[in-house]
Amino acid sequence: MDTRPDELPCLELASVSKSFGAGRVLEAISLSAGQGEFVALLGPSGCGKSTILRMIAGIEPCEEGEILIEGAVVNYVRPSERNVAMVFQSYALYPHMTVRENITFPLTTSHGRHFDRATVAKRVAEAAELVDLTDKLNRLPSQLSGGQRQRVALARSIVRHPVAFLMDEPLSNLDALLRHEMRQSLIDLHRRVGRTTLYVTHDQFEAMTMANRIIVMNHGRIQQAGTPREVFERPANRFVAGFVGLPSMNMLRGRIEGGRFTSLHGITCQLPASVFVAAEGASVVLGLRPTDLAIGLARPGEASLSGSISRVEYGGADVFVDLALGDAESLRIRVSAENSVSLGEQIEARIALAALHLFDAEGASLRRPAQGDA
Amino acid sequence: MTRVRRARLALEPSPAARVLAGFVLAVTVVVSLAPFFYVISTSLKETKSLFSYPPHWIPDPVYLGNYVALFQKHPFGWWLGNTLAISAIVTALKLVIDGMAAYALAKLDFSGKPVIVTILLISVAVPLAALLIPLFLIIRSMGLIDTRLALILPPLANPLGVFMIRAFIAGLPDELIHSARMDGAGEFEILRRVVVPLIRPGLVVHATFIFATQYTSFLWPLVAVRDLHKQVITVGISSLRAIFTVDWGLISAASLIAAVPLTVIFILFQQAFFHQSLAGALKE
Amino acid sequence: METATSHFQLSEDEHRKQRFRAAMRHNLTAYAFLAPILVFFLIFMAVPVVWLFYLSFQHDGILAPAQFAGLDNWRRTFSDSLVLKCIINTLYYCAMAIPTVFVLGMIVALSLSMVRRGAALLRIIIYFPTLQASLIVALIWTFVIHPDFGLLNLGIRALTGVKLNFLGDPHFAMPTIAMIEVWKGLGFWAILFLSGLLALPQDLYHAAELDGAGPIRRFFSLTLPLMKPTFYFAVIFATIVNLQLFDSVFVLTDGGPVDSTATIAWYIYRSLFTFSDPGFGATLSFVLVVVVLALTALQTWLLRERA
Repeated sequence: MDTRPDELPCLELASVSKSFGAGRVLEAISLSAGQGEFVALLGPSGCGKSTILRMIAGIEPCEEGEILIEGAVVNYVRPSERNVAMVFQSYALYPHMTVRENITFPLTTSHGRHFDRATVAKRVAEAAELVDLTDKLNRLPSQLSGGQRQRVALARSIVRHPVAFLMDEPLSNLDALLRHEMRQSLIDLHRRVGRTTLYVTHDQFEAMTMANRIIVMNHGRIQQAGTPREVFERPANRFVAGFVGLPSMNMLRGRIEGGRFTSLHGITCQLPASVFVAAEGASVVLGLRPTDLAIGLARPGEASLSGSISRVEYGGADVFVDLALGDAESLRIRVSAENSVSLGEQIEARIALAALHLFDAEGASLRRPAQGDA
Repeated sequence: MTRVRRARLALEPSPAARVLAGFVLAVTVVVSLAPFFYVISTSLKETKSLFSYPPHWIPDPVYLGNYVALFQKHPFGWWLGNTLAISAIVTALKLVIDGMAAYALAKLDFSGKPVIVTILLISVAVPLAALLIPLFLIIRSMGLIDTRLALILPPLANPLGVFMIRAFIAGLPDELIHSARMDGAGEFEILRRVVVPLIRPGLVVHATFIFATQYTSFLWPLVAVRDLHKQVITVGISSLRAIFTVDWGLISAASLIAAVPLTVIFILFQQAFFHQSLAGALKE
Repeated sequence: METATSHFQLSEDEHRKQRFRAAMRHNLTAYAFLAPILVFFLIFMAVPVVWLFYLSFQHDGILAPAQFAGLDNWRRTFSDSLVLKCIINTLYYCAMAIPTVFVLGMIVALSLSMVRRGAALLRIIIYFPTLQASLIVALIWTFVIHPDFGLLNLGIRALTGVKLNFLGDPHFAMPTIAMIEVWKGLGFWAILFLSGLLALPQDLYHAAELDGAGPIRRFFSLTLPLMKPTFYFAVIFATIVNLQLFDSVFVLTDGGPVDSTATIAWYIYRSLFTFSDPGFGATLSFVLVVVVLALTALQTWLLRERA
């Protein structure tokens, strides 16, 4: 954890579990988000990340475990009294109210915060300005574009000055270009407003570029929590390794023989000395990122693999090729467009030993913990 | 308000079929309206002139005595007033009662929900005629026989409306309600400020339906109210028949006036009414 | 991996207490919303049904104090010849009215689906009779069928010189009432069937046309089978409604002539107010409730099958 131990985390889950009927959705989740942190909850659909968000918000009841906001247990506190704001994937704007009325709504409700007219007007104006919607205040949601509706939802959550923002895949409904713009806006917003944000997404790129810390989840369990760099460079298990970073990591099954990795089909690879802890004969999985692999003869400190090009995908600046190592295994490699390779060509591929990943039969990382790791 | 789009069958009917359809509809229109025209004609004649054969279609002279007699010799004004007032009150109350219950069933979780739903669902089918006797005894024991209250209270019990409105509310996305809750709105506030504005067309249909049912109800008012001044229009008109002679002119006039308020309301709201019933089928 | 914080801030007991309180709050709010309808429902629906059952074991109760009657009323229900007549009359009426209104309704619905202009106005006109009170409709129709100056008789007289007394003839009375109710109900059923027609998937019709099926063939092989769910609902609903026929009978014939138009609902009313025999009427009412509920259950089961 990288929050200072004496500072109270803003949001915290203590051993929270959740079942829907017969299905177990969350298994003893414990996590925390510190003051002002931007934490991404990353995982595939159905991994339980949205459920966590909804439980913190209070719209999903929590029966096992505790949810704490600013140190207080809020399991049984009404959503309106938890002082957190949520931005939904579908924005959930009130269709019959104008933008201004939507943003003003939280300040006019019976359990909401109450201020005098002047303060309300000031807050609404502030929020609208922060999301750059000052000129659209009198429009109806149906008259706005997807991105603009998104911003209304943001403004509505800002206006309450909550202690934390909960965002449930807010950018999934936008097209790629818009998503890029909104990503920037959200990062800027976080910088300006500075409140704790818990951001749920299935897009690893979003998580990597936006978050201070990423919590990777799968099947209702936390797979790894750490900074984007940690999660990318030192994945704790095969799932994280394969989920973070696109194109996804190549995985080769095999075993340790004579201190080297030998794949199921006989491809061997040197392993960096004393980085991994693996017994002789153990079943392991070798991980190689397409972006760490390159075409060419191995240099010192690099492992070498050879094969023939079985597929070429031209992507503009990047070209992705499949390198067939023998009959049954292949590696995806990112090649820059200058290195022209053609189908069927026999080539050598190289990868820095330091960039190799090794996992045991259950998927856990075999990397020796480095100094300063949590 | 969105207009009901004319329905389009993908297959265009042949000209012959369309002519046939037109003929059928023309006949239907004539058959549907003819009795009313005859009634209009009759209401403007003196009753004794009715028995002359061959009949006069256009009344000559036009006789307004029937209409006058309605208001002077009979408490017709009372009947009309009572019926309109009671129908309006029941409609208003039913909207509130059904709306509240529908919201609870659609968007709230509570213990015993399946039980309540089942009970209410079953009772939608219970016919009013069957409950006549105990209802009468209950109202009598409350001392409410011959009061307008007796006509207002029992109709409030039928849960059909609850399920109608519940369907509309269930169609609203849950996230909207969640969002309102997080924004600090209490449940009743959510119903009032978020849900109702969004199901207005459905509420209009429901209101029209209740109003029409109440306006035309006959059996229960017949049983519950004796005093002609407190009676509703259906029973009132029925009382215009004496044992041996029937004043047809009078009854025609009465029926016509009785038909007006309901028709007006229906025409006003028919767009919403048909939109809802045909909405599932028409692709907007 | 995050280390699991296994120490909770609140004790197990405290959790249980607060959970209970929160649940209570939820339930209270929900029941507050349900309270109005439940109160009225209880007083004016639930209690009456139970009271019916209790009444069925009594005699009198209106003019004279109630006396215990044992199973008398029940025995009468199953042996009284008038009860049998009522049931037969009611069923006879349903058998006449329902198929007729369905066939005519379908014809009108089909026609409506084919027109271009004026659909809205047509819908209003066609729905107009349905809108009116049953009673008003019945009264209006008495002019139309009046032996002396009724529209129909004028026509018949002109053609054959004979006056028909529709409602005075035991053989014609019920069919006449059926005709009146069909006229009234046509609008409703036409609109209902129209919505069913419009919901049919059009692709099937295209395919059928390509296969060479003519419009008549398409109607019988496609339209009718596809409309089955609508028809199932329609039959049950129509039966439930028509079993309760009262208004027309009361105002037109009062059960006569010679009890040929006596219906179940009519007998229930009469047993209370004319014969002063609420116990017996209650028994009949209870039977009616059971029959209607059974039919509703049947409808639900049938519809679920098709879903």
